[in-house]
Amino acid sequence: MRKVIWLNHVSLDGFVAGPNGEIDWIYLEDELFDDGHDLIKTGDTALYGRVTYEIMKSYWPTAAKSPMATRHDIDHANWVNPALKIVFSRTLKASDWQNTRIVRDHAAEEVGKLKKQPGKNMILFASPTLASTLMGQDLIDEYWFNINPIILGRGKPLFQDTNTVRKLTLLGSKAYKNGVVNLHYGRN
Amino acid sequence: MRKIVASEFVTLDGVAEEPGKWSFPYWNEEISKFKFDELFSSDALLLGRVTYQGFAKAWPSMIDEAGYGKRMNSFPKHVVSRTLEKLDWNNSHLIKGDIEKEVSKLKQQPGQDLLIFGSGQLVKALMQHDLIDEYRLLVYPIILGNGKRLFSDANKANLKLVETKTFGSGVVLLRYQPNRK
Repeated sequence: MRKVIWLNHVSLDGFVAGPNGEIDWIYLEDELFDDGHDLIKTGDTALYGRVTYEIMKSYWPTAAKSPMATRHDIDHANWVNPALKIVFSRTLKASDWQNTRIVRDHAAEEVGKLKKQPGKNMILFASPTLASTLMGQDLIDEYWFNINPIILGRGKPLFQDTNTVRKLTLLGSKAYKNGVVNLHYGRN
Repeated sequence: MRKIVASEFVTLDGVAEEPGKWSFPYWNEEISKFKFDELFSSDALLLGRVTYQGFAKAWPSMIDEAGYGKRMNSFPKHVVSRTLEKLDWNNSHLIKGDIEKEVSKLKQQPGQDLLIFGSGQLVKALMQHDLIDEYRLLVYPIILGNGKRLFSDANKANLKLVETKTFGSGVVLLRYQPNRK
């Protein structure tokens, strides 16, 4: 069965963004992009909550066309623009980003159904609120976290409070030159 | 100058509260050796009240062949608290006044590392004064869902990754130092 893989850049104290949505603290480098891209290529579908979707939509449709585009911009644009993008939102009415499907309700049921359909993996980008809903129904199969060497103190938490304890299996870990550590977990 | 090392058990969701309840299933030889080496390259503990009170109940009766318990019990324990009056655990010393001044004094004394275990409030207070020289986090492959987060509302800090190590049971050591420019 195809997997749902949750991919995130996160601060050491567990935030995916600063208090005002800042993501300028995220450490990036070639090898980190390459490894992330290798993972993303195992998928054919992107899953987003509305906030993450809108950030992505403001960048990726034109990213590869910019004269400033890096190889990584081009790689990801070439994957994400044609990929099926499913955004879970009650407020979003329509989107002009190609191949977007808006799902208004019952995110967990919908993802459960999608998992049973044939296809490659589904990559869940950031979207902590959606991730919490999916984790609640045990729908996330792998976690790919890039832990940044910074303590933010405040911000948007990766994990929301729940009453569910979840034990995972460490699948891999890797330290990058810039001080980021990738932690990769799967189901126990 | 001696280093202050905050050595902590955390879950993947950053909870450091009551590790006794969730860390034992992952304990193995490698983690044991890491903790042993750490204790033997230190010569004192620096603790907040809550952690101190838990330790003071548990440690005096802990005896092991390797001598970990003996060393814990004989170490000087520096306890930061405004409310504690009496310290029952052997070789305990109360720090009541100006934390920054008192802890800086300890750092300037000759000796090995000063170890902090647990003591989330104290860690954050020391971070405000940039008094922590190293963070050693053992990250456990478990999401608890709720509990006190080690760094909740901490001061912003840029760190330098010094070492990572993966233990067989899925625990990962992340070792950082402050990025002091």
